[in-house]
Amino acid sequence: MQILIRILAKNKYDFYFFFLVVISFISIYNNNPYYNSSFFNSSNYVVGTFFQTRASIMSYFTLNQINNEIMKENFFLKKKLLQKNRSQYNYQDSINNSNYDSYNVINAKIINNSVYKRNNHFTINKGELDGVKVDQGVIGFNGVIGKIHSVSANFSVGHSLLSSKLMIPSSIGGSKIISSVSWLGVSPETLNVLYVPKHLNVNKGDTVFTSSFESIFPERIPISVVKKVEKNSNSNFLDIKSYPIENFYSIYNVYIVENKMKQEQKLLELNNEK
Amino acid sequence: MKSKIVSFFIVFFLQVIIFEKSYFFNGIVFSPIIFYFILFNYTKDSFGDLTLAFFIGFILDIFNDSLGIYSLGLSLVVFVRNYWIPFYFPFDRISSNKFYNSYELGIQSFFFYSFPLIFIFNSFIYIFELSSGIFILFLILKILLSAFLNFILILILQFLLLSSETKYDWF
Repeated sequence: MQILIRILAKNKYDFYFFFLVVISFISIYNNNPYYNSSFFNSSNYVVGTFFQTRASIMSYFTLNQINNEIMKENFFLKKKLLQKNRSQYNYQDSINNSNYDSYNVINAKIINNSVYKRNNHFTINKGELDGVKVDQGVIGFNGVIGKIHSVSANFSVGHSLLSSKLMIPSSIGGSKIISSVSWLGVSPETLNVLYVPKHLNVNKGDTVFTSSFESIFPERIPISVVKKVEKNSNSNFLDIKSYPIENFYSIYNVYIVENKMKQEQKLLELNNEK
Repeated sequence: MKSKIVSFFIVFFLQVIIFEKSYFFNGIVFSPIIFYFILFNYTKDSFGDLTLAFFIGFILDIFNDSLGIYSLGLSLVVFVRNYWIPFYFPFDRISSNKFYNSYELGIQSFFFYSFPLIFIFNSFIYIFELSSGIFILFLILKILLSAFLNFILILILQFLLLSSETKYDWF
């Protein structure tokens, strides 16, 4: 015991460093929700306010780009509205409407975003007080951005599509076959589309959409566009590379979507599993 | 002492305002915060330095949504530096009020002293936070380039923040 104390006393600096290493590794690898709570990430009040101030200063320098995006979105919505007015109300419309009616939408701004990490995050200027909850989907004007994983009173942080922690159920083109989109961390311009069977005809330029599985995103929201399809003889699935439909280097305005029926659906599924 | 605190705040704000979001040449990141931990005064086996590095790293982690990574990275730099300085410099040159910058050491000697520390820090950040799914050789090249560019940044910061009048006021 005395020897042990002597060793500890002699190498106390090294042991202290080792202690800090242990704390850090616990922080890095711990999936405990305590660590994902809003205090220890950028959704906490001080850091969130800091990022919001920075974002509002920086947005003055990108006003032109933001205006162009809003103009583009307005144009798209106007066109849709005109098309809708011209067309007759039919069965297909009623299905689509009922699909989107079950979703609440909250508009928000991205105040911090990363693209070069293994697990990229974004911080949003809306939080619990605005109705944001964990596991809600986030979409931009063009398509999917990510999923909320931590919420404080006024801010929230989400995993972006460029995160190895996120896997989004999807379908390619008009097919109903379920696949998954995930990011393997190679480049912010490349997403992998997994579990697409070889018999499915997939071409370069096909759009990958969300499926209603997992009930986070509405169906048929674009995720990415196929850029390369390869058949691997060792696998039953196609090797598909795609590029994200959203430009993650410049995202500002986003929409948080909440499936109002999600709770009911999950509860029913859970009861059936028992 | 005053210039040390001012320099720290400048470096810290550069890190969280400008370089936290910046991404150069498809994968190079700048970490100006390391400037502070390479140049500050050396005390053998200082618990204070190690705790300070861990604490500042922890704050950076909160800004960066990367809990544990910067706190460990900066602690590692301070820990390695604790043994690196006595190893690299002849013992008659080591003293607690000596400063380790290019004014004092000369650029070449400063490079050989600081580059391994920057390289260790960058390797750690790349392995744990940035890289995934890339070839090992490509990763090493990226780390080397990133470390070299960070060394240049440290030199620039040093010339900007430690003017000839204030460089002796550093401690």
